[in-house]
Amino acid sequence: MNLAARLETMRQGVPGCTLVAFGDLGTRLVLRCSAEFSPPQEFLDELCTQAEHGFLLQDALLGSDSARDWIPSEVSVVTPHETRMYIRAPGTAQETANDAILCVCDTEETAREMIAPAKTLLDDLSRGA
Amino acid sequence: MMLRSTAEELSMSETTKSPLMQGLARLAAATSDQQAAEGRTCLMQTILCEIDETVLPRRLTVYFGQDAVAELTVSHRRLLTFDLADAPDLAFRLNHSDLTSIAQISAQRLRFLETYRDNTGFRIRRQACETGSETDCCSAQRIAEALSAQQNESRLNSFLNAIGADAEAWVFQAGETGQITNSGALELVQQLTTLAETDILAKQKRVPTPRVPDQIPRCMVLSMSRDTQVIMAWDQKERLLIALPTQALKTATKTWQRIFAV
Repeated sequence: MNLAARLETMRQGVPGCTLVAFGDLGTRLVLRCSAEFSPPQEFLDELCTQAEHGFLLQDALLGSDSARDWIPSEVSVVTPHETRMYIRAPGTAQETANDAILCVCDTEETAREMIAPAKTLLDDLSRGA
Repeated sequence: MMLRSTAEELSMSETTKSPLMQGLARLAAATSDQQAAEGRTCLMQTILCEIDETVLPRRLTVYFGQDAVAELTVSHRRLLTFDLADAPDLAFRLNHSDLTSIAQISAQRLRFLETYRDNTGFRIRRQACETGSETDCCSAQRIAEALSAQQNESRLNSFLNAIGADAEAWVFQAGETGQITNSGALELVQQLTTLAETDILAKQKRVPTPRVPDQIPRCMVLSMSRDTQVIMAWDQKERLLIALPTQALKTATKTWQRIFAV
């Protein structure tokens, strides 16, 4: 199954999820997207920029504590009418370190449901599956 | 005895309105206008009227649907206690709050209830009760005055007041003046301050995207540890960072959404 199909399956598998995208945090570009409605490019750009900014803040918050055994893999953003969940795979190879899954959901609960399948997808991508 | 608190049952005739009632009506006018248009009764106004009209000791239990969400003890037109049920995370505690008087705290709890209410109806159950040795009490007038003052605060300030009691630390940057206030352990405050500076610097470096203005309110959730989360919220030129226990996060984000979805 190709990436676009995987994103589509993820979105349709969780009611309340309206958009799932695969983005590159380094270039802040959405490379693939599955959505209920065709989103404007500016919205996709905003998601990727926000995800990159969120992970930057997340890393800054934890600092350079090399002893920590836990690196958060997700950052969420609540807006007045939706919850966005951004998931990355920290610790993966350099060429996939900027990969991220960007989700837009109706509730925080729905958004949290996206974390596990997103991590699986990122893991598969990092292994070239 | 169960009393359904509908507009019909608690509406006041013009001829019987006391100066307090007129003041309360003015206070709640903005909220009431919107809610009346939606066929809803103003919860805050109703409770204040209940306090002002209750002489013998009564326990007032507020229900949203089937859920008891608050319990008040009232006697001699004074509020003696005001406890939030089913929302222990949001129980306001004097020793952790900047709200210094029982009137301010009661006003804040009323505002929280109004926000928490969302689109559900409410009813109030009145029961005779005995009063204890409460030393703090306040009149509906005092609460109304505190409400009036609080209604002029910003949405982020409202959010902070709603969940600030649960915060381990917070840093607030005011919009117009840029004045920074904070509370909590020094180390945590310093971490939040550094995070705010990182946010500012990163945004300054970013190429502006005019079509995506940064004025839309946002609430970002970051992790400080497995036990502590950080909420970073922006509204217009204001910025608020709160470190709070993980178990308080869900209520906090829902509170933010309720305040900003209006």
